[in-house]
Order: sequence, then structure tokens, then C-alpha cells
Amino acid sequence: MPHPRFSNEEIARRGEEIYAERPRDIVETEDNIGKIIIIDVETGEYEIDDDSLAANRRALAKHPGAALYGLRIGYDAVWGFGGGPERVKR
Amino acid sequence: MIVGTVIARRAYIPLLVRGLAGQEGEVEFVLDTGFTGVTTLPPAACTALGLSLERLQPAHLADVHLQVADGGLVTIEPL
Repeated sequence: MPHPRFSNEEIARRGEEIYAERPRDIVETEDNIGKIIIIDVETGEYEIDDDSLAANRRALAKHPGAALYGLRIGYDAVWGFGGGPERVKR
Repeated sequence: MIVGTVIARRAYIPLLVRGLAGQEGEVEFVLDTGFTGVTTLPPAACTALGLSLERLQPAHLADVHLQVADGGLVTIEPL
């Protein structure tokens, strides 16, 4: 399922970079820990929600066809198969 | 009622998976009663269903390895 404008590696790299440089200090509040943040790696805009699908849909409504990267705020992964995401403090 | 089979203590159920573009196909799933997150599909099924990438997200695999995984939207219904 490749994105037409970016490789998966580029989307992941940009997503992690944008999160570290911009919204992380703002979004990692106690209320947001565990929520999903969906980052548009082209515009830097993001959506936060308990429901990843809802956040995803809002991001795509703003920018159809956007290259999106998802993170679980305060954790190292969004999902775990066989082991859950681990709580991290970046 | 959803009908499946149990083989070697694993429960398998066939379900109809439909991509947003309308392409659909039968996929056999393993039930994991301990997981309430997303459903996974093999790459070949994603290609056959014409799924488009919605987002990337890191996920822990069963061996604890951290992997960035493609995420897409489908509908799933019993056969």
C-alpha cells in the first residue's frame, strides 16, 4: 500500500521528526497520554483523539491523500501484537 | 452466528473483507481473544483488495520487535 509521494521510510522519518520538534511538548499532557496523534507529514498539522479512526478521518478531510503518521502519545507504539506498547518518556 | 474451525487449538474464521474502492474477498482470520486492537491482513490480500495507505504507525510485533506498519480502512462482515 505505498503512498504516491513518499516512501514508508520517509513518512516515518518525517512523522517522528515533526513530533519531536513541534507538538510533543504541547501534547504530552496527562490528559492526552494514551491518545492517538495523527500527523500530516507534509503540513505538520495533527489531530488527537481516543479513536484513531476519527483522528485519521479529520486529518484526511483537511488534506485528502495526505501522508499520515500515527503515534500513541506517551508510548513507543500504537499497537502491540503479543505485547503491548510500552510507556516511554521522550 | 459466525462459523469457523478449530485447528491445533486455534480458532479460524472466514470473513468477507471489502476495501473502500469496493473490491472484496474472503480472508481467513485467526481469532485472538486477547487482542482488541486492529485487524491485520497479509500484503497479498491488501494488494488484491486495492487498499490504499491511510497512515503509517509503529507497532510491536509478537516477537517484541518494533515495526512501522501500514494502516488502511476496510469493512469486515461474516460470510
